[in-house]
Amino acid sequence: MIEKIDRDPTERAYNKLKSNSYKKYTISYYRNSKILPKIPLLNKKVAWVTSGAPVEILVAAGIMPLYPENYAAIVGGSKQSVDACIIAENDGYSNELCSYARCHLGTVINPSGSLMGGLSKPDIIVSCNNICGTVLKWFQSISEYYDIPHFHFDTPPIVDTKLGKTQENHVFHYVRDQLDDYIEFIKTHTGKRVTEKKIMKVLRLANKATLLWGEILDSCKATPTPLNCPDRFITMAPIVAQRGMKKTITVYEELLEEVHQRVDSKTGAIKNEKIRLLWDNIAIWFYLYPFFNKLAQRGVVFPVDTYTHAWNMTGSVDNYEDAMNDYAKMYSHVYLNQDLSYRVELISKFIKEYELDGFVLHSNKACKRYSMGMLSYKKAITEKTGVPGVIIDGDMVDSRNFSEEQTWTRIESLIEMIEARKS
Amino acid sequence: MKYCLGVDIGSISAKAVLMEVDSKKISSWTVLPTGFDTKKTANTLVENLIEKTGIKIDDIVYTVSTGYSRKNVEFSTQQVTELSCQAKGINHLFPNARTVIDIGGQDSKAIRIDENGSLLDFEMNDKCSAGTGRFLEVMARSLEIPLEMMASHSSDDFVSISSTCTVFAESEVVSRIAQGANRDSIVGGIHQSIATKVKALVDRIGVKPDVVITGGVAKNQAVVDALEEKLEYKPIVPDEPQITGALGAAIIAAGKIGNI
Repeated sequence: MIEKIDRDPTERAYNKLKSNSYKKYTISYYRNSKILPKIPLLNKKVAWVTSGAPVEILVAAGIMPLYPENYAAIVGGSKQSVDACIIAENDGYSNELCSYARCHLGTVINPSGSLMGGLSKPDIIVSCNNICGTVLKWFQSISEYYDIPHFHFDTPPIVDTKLGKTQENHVFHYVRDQLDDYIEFIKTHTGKRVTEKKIMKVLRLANKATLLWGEILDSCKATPTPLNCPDRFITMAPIVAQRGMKKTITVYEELLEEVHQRVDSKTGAIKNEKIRLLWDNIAIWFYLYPFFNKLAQRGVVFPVDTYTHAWNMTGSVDNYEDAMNDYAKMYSHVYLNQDLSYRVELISKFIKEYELDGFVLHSNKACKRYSMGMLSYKKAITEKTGVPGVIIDGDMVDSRNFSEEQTWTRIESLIEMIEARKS
Repeated sequence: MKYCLGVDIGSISAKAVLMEVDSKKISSWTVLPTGFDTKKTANTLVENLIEKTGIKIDDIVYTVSTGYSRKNVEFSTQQVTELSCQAKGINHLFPNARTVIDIGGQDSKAIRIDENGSLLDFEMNDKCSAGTGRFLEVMARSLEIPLEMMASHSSDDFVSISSTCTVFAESEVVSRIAQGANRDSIVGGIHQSIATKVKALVDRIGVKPDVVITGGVAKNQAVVDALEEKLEYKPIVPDEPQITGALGAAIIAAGKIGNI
């Protein structure tokens, strides 16, 4: 049972990360994205991409990728997302639509009133439906709004697979062929040539950064765990948005070193770890630190989540053909493009490997694909692992869809169930 | 004599149960509207109990608070969610209960409990007042029927209310009246609507007998009857369905006293 302790909700119950190059890097990247495309001599092109789109080829072409989802999360964290969503709603976008889409479209409609003056206007846009179907129409809207070319990378879902099983052959070829079209598209619409050599160089850099990120995530198995959810949610930005760039490697080398130090000295992400949970779904960005700090005050930590693990995939980088084949497979096999049995397998595996006491499924009103089937997989995971879980209602950036007290009643009930089991 | 106290501050009603520690017998209980000043309401609950029983405030050695405003009970020793409290309270009254349906003011809950009154699983309504006490209250007001009289007006020959949203359902009721529908048939439709919503919630955890219905809405026999029909189990309704959360809180408090 939760003992009553009069705590100041702002009292920090976590150990703040010393590593900060991820933050500096993200800030300078956004700053550069506002400046560099305006210098004609540089001929810097900008592409907007979805979080699951094959970005490495753009990087190889010297194009600056910008992520509307990442930007919407930052706008959400800055508590400016509801205003942006309202602008999009007033323009006719349904409030049932993804809140990243609404938030971002709001900043497209009204850049001057938006954080950082909105994202730099793109020259091309690239969507990939491995994360959801909304991205196609969202990016189509942008394409029409700016009258710019749109490449849609279609990755049919992987169904009836278990961990490790590959996709159907005809689907693989369909996806693989699109990579060649994608390279052609970039050349046609930006004039930027992409060579095999350049692609390989970027893929190797991306692989190296991903391996570091994977090691960071893996290190969280330690007790006490060195990183909590907000630590990973914040430091994930470069692996999502700057994959394939040199600096991303140094950012994660620094973070990994701190993670190793924490593990060696048994310094936890939170000050007094008692209960270990898994988080499923995107963060509630506007309530990130207060939420996890309040839980940390009760000794609750999240050593693993499905969200940041989604960017933990590597492929072969030995030669161009193998690399591109793996690349096609990798982008098809992301978490949200697989079926629910995969979720059950993966979350159950995490529960065992990270020695967890329970799991929290964030039923995110804004993200239908991530939230669908939650009730079924909650049951299946509990049956498989014997560990209890809870579903909370929320939204990644639209705070109008979040009720704090209802959420706390659910989470505290889960904690009470776990504590009763432990005693 | 030592006493412990369970205080349940819900969204509509505030409840308190005073329990004699050694015998675990209820000494007294009280229910008040929550009002807007929940801290004051919590104090008034205790004052009422002291007045009723003549005990001294110092005789209360442990207080557990629960419900949405559990954190606003300044004198509580411990805070526990209403789900754990309902589980303990119902287990105390009905040891064979395995499914608890709690229909409160702003939310409804389906709770799976074991033979020890431990919480095994639960589901709550999403951010919507459909299928809650507030829904019933709004409809009663629209129909100008006192809340406690709603069940007696319920007709089996009901008019179906299809809107889930409380606000839309209210306008649907108004338009049904305008169309000349019988008021009691509308009342029957409202009760069916709550039962349908609650049944869907219970299905999420699965029905396992014995089934107990608690919360203010359990006082409405028509809702209980409609649920019985849908669940295909006869639910048990405690004599005082509103205070079972506070009772569970008092039981948890009594259990804690040995540990002090």
